[in-house]
Amino acid sequence: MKIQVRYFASLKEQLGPEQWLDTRTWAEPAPATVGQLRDWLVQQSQVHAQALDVGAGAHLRAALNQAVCDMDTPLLADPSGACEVAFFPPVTGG
Amino acid sequence: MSAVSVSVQTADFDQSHEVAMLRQGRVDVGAVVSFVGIVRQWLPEASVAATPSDDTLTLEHYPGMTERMLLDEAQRTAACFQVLGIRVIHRVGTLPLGDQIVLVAVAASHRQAAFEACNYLMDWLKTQAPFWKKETHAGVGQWVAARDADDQALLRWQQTTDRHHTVPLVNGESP
Repeated sequence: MKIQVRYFASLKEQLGPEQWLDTRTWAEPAPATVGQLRDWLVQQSQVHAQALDVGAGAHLRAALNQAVCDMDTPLLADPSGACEVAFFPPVTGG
Repeated sequence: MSAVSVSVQTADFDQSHEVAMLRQGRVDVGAVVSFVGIVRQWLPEASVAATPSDDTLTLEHYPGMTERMLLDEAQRTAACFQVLGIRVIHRVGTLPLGDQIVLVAVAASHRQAAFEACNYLMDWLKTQAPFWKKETHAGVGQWVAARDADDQALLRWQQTTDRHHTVPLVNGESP
């Protein structure tokens, strides 16, 4: 499964331009949930671990295929076999 | 049928023009409520120089998802509060102090619905729409933290909006 990972706001800034848009193709077994993908990313580098540690993980927010989701949401691909996961801090618009 | 339109853009907007467009060609509109959010100096007066400030507010969004969420919510709001038209404009990019950030304009037959829909949509926007603010002072940027008070403001609408809302909340209690 092809997973595109995107980061926004402080996470994007911490990870830098090389990392904030990150496409990986997984041989099975791919992470089963958004939370498992986060756990895997945290293991990849100290920078990932720090960026994804929003409020010790409690304030990390996520979206799957551009819809807000939670960490238990299963990683489902769209019909093309790809999926887009975004991680970001709590929103502050308006 | 209500007319709902949303834009996420870098360009500034003209409130009068947007209100006029919302009413154009309609004789069923009896009330328009419009709200404009403005970049204000966030630092205490004592800590900033009296000279014109070069402080800025930068807004980031999630292209695609933000526009779709805004449109969905504006349509749900129009149905829930039974208003005739809604126009939302949210700016992104780097804005100087005093610039307009956001417009929510609501047209309705009667004022109460227009006030409530506008108020609700701003509460929703503050806590659920994927925008992130960064304040820059003296060349140093700081991401704005989400406020509990904003989450509480949205919760007071729960009974009104429950019938129309089934989407999960972004901010607030962690999933």
